[in-house]
Amino acid sequence: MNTILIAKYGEIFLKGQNRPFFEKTLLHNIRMALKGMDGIDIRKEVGRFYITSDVQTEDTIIDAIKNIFGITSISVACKIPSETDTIEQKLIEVAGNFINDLGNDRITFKLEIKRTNKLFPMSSPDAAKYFGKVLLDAYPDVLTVDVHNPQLTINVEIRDETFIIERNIKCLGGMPVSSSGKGLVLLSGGIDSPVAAYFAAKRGVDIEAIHFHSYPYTSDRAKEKVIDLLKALKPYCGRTRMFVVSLTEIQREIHAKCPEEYMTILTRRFMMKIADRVAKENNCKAIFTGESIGQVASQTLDGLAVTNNAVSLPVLRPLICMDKQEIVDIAVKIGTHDISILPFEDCCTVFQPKHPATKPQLDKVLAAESLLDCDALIENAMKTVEIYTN
Amino acid sequence: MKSNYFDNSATTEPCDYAIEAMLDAAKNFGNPSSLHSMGISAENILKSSRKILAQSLKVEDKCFYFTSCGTESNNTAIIGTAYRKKSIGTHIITTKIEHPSVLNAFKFLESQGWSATYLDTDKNGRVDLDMLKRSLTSKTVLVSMAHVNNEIGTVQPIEEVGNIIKQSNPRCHFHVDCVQSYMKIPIDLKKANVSLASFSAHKIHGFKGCGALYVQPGVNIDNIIYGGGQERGMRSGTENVAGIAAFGAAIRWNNEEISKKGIGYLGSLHDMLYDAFEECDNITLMCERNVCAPHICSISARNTRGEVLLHTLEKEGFFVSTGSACSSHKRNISHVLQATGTPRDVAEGVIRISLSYSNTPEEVRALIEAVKNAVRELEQYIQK
Repeated sequence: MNTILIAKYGEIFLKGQNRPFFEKTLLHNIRMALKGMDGIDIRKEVGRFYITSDVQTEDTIIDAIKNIFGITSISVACKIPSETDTIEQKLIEVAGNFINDLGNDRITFKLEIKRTNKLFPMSSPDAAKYFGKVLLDAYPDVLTVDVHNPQLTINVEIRDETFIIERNIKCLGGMPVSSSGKGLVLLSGGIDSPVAAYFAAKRGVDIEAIHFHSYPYTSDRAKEKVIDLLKALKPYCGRTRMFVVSLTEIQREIHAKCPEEYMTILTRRFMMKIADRVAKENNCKAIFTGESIGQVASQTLDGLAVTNNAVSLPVLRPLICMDKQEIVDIAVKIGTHDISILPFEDCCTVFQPKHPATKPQLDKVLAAESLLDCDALIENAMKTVEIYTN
Repeated sequence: MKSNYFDNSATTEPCDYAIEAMLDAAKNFGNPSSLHSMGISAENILKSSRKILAQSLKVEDKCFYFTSCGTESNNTAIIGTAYRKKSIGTHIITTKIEHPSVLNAFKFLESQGWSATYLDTDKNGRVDLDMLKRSLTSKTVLVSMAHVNNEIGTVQPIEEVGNIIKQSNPRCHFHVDCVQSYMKIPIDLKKANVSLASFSAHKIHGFKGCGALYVQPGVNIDNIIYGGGQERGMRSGTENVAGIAAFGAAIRWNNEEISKKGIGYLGSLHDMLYDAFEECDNITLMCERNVCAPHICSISARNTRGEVLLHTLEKEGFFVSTGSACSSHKRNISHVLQATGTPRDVAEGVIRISLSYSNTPEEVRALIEAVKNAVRELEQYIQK
């Protein structure tokens, strides 16, 4: 490629003394995403990374890094020395390309110039006027200036070197994954939980996942599906481990010994207790779920209060006030939706009662739970843990 | 061979003969259409397999066209007949319990203006012959029916059906899907007046990607694939020489197994299953023994979903399927069980055990024990 990619970051820039840590994390994540590609050079500058390659195409690199949290935009630019003559020549060439692409007879345009190199002889507004005139002289029949509503905006950055931006790709923003510590996300295989994982990663959380199955009541295909979801999340979350735990014995015990209407809420409590334990053993500081108020019986405020009571770590619910459709839209955008809707049963629907308790009371749930040997059941479930990675 | 594999109606393990034949053919990689010696040796492989296939059914070599699978053979027979005979008539007949490769070909033709009759069956899946007689008219151009149903194992009275068609409308084509029955139940294609028949290699210990279509001499159908004119224009596309080589080898393997173990071998294993399950009051058999193929045993356990029983058996190392492999991704009740009037709660509990000559009596005994134990275990946790 003859051009240079400029990956810019936003929020990190505001950090004080910790900024080098965030930059280092982001740089590491970019390097991981480009791992296996030859001939790539990355250079760090204030507020941005420059990426060049003699081997790879622009689009290959952009596709690999555009979903990395922390990057706000990627610009494709041509790099030239900060000399007035050279800038003039290149600007005429680049503007010519834009004009050809647009294909209109008359085009309104605006030149946006940022001069950070104070040794350059013109100020930003002066440079805009000067180079604007150069373009008007070069394409007198086509271009007219409109600084408020231009059809074409050309960005030029005059630094130690000068960059003329050919195109700009808006990215996801957020914080670099792994800059905010580790969290454990409950991944069911449904639509919501991958979106919750996405949001946790967006704020820099290093995600680990836990999935519960009820083999033989659920099939191995359901497990494969969750592994596929984990792969779909990889561009956002990076490398992720998943703990897979069997709930079969626990569900059978609840089913045999406890009132039917508490099946779901008790199952949720056991999931939380096991998640709490796995999280602590693996240095995770919080549990993330895809719950949203009122979506199903166990996600009423009463239900959430009863499940929260089972854990000591914070339980964070990024989707808590989102509508189903909003969640679905994001799932479609991030590419997990099509996997989530494959029809394999998850363990929440096994032994599902006809009328689950929608307003469970903690004391009654605890009384039902006391009919079970919880410690032994959790101990046995922990023996079933398998670990997968994406 | 892999032990405790009881899903032979989904697919079978390739036998050693088939693997050897495939490797040999892969090394002799010539294109049968090439004029040079490599082309000729590839062509000879096709000739040899075609001959073995023809001998196994006691018909002429030239009646067989190799295809890519049973589905393609069914599609070619059905759609090829319909288009060839469009000017004579546009009425076609099949049954309600056919494989999707037949039913969906019929659905397609219906969308193109043909009219179709779907024959009822009794509770065992046997086709209603009176309805067949009533449905046949001078405008009927095709009757399509599987010899053995893939889900519950019903054997259709093919010779009787063939005679009914011949008496009522001798010009009507009779297509028989032999994918499940081939090498398990003998069929006399001539005596049954069969015009077209479908076969598949991977159901008889060959490889996936290879099938065959029988076309009775004098019967004409349109081809549905257009190209370089391979398989005498019936099925264009460079032949799957290695797969066809393995198909022939697999037929030889089956013949040897049958002569070694006896023609009644599968029946004796089948009887073990029926003897055991008929005694269990918590197990229902989907098809009565006397009309069921000797390699398929479809059962339903009371109060248990078939999928759960399948996974419980899988844990013990036994492989079976629910309904048929093709329909197990769908939540709906199988169309076959609907047609046989099976109640929903029974239909949800169905698993299919399917045998091959590679299964042993010891394996079958162990499977019976495993099924009984699994059903007993699961009954403790009946969903309220």
